Amino acid sequence: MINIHNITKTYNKGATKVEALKEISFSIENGEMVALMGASGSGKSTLLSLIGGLDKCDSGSISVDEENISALNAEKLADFRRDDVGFVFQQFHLIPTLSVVENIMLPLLPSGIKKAECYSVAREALEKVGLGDREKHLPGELSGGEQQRVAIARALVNKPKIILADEPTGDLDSKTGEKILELLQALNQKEKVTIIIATHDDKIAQKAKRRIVLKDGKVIEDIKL
Amino acid sequence: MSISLFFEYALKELTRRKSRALLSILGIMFSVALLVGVLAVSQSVEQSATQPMKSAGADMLVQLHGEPCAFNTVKLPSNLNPLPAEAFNNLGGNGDIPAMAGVLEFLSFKDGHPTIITGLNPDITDIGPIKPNYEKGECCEIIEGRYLQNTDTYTAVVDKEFAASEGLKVESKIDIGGKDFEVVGIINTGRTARIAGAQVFIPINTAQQIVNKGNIYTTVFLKLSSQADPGAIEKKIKSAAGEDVTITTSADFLATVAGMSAMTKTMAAGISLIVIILVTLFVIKSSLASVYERKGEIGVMKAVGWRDRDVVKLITIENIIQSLIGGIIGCFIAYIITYLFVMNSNFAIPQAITSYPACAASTLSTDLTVTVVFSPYLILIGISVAVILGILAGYAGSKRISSLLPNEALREL
Repeated sequence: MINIHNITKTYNKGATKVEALKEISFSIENGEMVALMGASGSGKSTLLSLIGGLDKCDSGSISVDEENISALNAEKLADFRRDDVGFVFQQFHLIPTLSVVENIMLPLLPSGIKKAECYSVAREALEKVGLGDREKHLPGELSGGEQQRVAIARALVNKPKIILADEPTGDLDSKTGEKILELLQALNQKEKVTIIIATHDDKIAQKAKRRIVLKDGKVIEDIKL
Repeated sequence: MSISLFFEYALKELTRRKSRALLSILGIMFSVALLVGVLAVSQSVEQSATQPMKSAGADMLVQLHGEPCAFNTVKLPSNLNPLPAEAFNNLGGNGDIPAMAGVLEFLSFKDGHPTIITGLNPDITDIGPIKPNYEKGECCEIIEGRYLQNTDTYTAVVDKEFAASEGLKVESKIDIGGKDFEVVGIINTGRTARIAGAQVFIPINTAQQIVNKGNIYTTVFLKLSSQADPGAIEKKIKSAAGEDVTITTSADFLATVAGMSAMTKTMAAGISLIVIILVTLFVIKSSLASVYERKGEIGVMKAVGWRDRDVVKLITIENIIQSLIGGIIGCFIAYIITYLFVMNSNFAIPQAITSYPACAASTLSTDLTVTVVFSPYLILIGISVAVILGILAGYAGSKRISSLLPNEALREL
């Protein structure tokens, strides 16, 4: 269970201070698929970053399965990201010099797993996203949809409890975007992975079972569908 | 952590940023080549320059330089004047000077041609121009007959080359200062430069009689113990043999022969160190620039669970790989530099020490054999310097960026 309690986040944009999140509180059950909605600048991405331990909140706390991740030191937070969270970014964020399979192996490198085992786990994740025949390709040789599927495979490879997807279909055409969403839905249903998708697209939000709407850093709507 | 995977990832990164990696490799290569080259050249020169002293088993030489004495059937070398033997009677055999040998070098003329003679004490075999119980690399091997004995008077041991040119064999007679000497042995002096080397070696007592200037030496070889204070010994010698004597130590010999004083060595090493520091700064700057170009990718790595130290490890491995390449090539270049230097170097024992006459029918070699000294120890120094440089650059380059929150780094993408 993800428990978000009274969190606030402010950051500097040039000389001005931007209050990205203002005293937000809500909980997400394990295995839920949630759409975080709101216009650009509403605080969706900031909230995802805080839940995933990519950033720290100014006040309040976030706990995952009763572990307060806001209080973790940098090392423990890295372990949390590695073991419990998978990220899917709008721009895929694949490393261009590494092959598809090497990109997927990236989260496994610090975990002490041997190369052969890393490879076999990465292959398994690649098969899951239907790109088994593309392991040696470089990201630049793949279409946008294929690159996002590689990013999903990378997010899956450590068998995380939570997948955080920030506008995962933002850079894709609608047909490809649809397939990506189906993939995320399948992961949620078959493997009971908690999925939180930040989006401003209503169609995407309809795939989720719960919709949390943010505006100016505050939750203005939280509906279970 | 799978180190082999880290190496693979690091290699990929280096091949992606070829020009930056190449620049760093060149910088490291240059500094290692300079450092190792300076050390190897100085060691090569040092070894060759100290070879005559080593081969004589001596640490110190005492001579008296002065004007040439008048021509006669026999005469002392052109600028070596006699040293009174009694001045050295109480020097040898104590704790500070465990071994000492006085020799008398002179020239014997026949038909206008000089023969180079050295009179030596047959009982002293561990120090001096000839050590008949020779070990590898030392002089000299008796190839025919025998060495001198303390009961010998008008007997001689003759250099192999000289014997061949003069048609001398064991039991042949040779005229020295108007006296007949019997050749008792032929010796192979190896044609390497040596102090008080000669074409003919005779017992010192007989040499002193022939020169007829009393109990004199022209060169005294001294072996010093490791605890001995050379300054104190020099004072002792000067008070016994006179202030005018010239005292040469191994270090002076090196400076005289190769112009390489302790100061020039220190300066060369100092310059190398300055270059290394500059190159270290350059490589750190290059590593920092490379890391900042990859800030976004490092953000991705951190986002997927890399710890700060994993990022530092990857970047340090990248730097170590390029340092190793630079270090190995640098050592290779240093070897070539040393080889070329040695091939084009010509060092000789100073005339003041040897005084061999140029007019002799067959003269002795004063040229020092310079060989390349390139020990595994030097390679170890070169590679270690390169690796330390790589670790420093990798650590300095990655430490700051690795501690950024992933979100801060991801903003660069």
